[in-house]
Amino acid sequence: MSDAELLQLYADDPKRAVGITAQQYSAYVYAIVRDKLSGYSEEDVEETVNDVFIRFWHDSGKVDLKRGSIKAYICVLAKSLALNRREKLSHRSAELPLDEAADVADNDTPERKLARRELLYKVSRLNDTDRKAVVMRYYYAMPHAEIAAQLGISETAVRKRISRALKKLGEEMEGWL
Amino acid sequence: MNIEKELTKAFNELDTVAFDVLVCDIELPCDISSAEKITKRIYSKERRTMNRSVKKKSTALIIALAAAMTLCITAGAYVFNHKMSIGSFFGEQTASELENRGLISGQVVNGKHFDISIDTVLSNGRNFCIVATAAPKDDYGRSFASDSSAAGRVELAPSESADKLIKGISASTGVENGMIVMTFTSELCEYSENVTLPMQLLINSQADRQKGVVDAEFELKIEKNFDALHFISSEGEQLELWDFGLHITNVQLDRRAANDSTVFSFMEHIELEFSDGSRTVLDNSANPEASILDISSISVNETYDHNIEGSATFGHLIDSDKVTAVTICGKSFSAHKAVQ
Repeated sequence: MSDAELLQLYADDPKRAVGITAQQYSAYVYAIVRDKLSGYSEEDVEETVNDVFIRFWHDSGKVDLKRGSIKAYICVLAKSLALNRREKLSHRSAELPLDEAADVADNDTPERKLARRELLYKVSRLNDTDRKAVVMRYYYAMPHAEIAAQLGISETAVRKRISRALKKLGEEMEGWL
Repeated sequence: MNIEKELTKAFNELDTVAFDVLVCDIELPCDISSAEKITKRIYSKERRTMNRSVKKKSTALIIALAAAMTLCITAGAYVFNHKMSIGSFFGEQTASELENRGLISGQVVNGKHFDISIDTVLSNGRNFCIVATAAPKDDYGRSFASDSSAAGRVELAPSESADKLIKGISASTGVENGMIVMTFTSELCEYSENVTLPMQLLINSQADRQKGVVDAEFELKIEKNFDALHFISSEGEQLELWDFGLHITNVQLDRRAANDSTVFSFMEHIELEFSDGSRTVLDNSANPEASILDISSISVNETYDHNIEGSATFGHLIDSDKVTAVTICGKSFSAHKAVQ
């Protein structure tokens, strides 16, 4: 079913549309939400996942496929809702764990935002396998073993590819960040 | 520079356009069992209970009611005025009617930072509605009664042991004369003409509305004081009507009939036909700036197969004995027989 057909289904038979959307994209949503809510309860994860699909259902009339696929909308929404929920759950203070602090774009300047856009551009210029490995690791937070299974290479090869890609990105971003 | 941290931040900022360029071609396997769980949770009767309380719009009516100082109890520097509190949610006329029927309560509970007056408890044996007032006892309590936003953190809630006794909660809060006025609407899981419900007054954390501190615990007596009348549609769907609300069961939804995509829209327009031929329409959108709205709260469940079960609490009492037909969700229900 195409994205346009799925959007039309939300108007005609939302129950079926939600089912199909959940079937196609729950794996992505769980990956994103679990990563951002690691350390929090499974109940928080499940509620956030539910919220993603409910919110997409309510907003389905506003989706503009010229600006992104349904997968893009759902994944961006998942990340946003998971980060919002984490912010509500965590204590916003000096005790914020370091790995959570990494997500916080505090003291952000326009220069840093521009630099991050440049970083994403450089990621897009990596060779296909390296790009996919980096995205699976840092967007979906997949373990190396799972990335290896997806790409059909060994776990050692995954680690080497990611390490090499990060080194290359670091060198190319010297002076930007 | 920590390239991993910068990558994480950059991916957090990815918009839909950039996602399709960078990420879209990565396919993860479909997870059918998770998908089934998600869909069932979204549509299941237990999980998808949605509640909406419509907050009172203005306090203009309260000035008029303040002159009627009947049934007042003093609590510290505050004087509970039950009729005024009831009137702030249901209007002066309803407050007077309840007073005439002897349905204004005098129960007062002493809490740590608040004294609580239970102004009235309305029940048809299944659906019930409480109006209560919390008078602050100290500066901490007064800090919540300064405006509606802070007052919203103070709420009546069932104790944990009461969770199995009730289902579906709607609540709203307002501030009147330095006190917090609250309504609590819910449904008993089983019909009862006389039940005791363990309740508490909670002060919720600003950061997390799920975490609250108990200010007072008390037992609330809910005695049936209204009858529910039975109505039925041509398709056998059921509706119960009483003076302060209605309840529908197993109504098959036709989503194409709704003006917007939310199930609330099916409950927000109610037409009542009376034995003298007159009609009344309850619809908040008709007069959104009214001080007392037609429908003060809605609670609705939608099951997996588009059946809905829902309740609406009216903003004022109606004379249900004189109602011959009710139109809701685009369907007409005719008077059948008295339930109790």
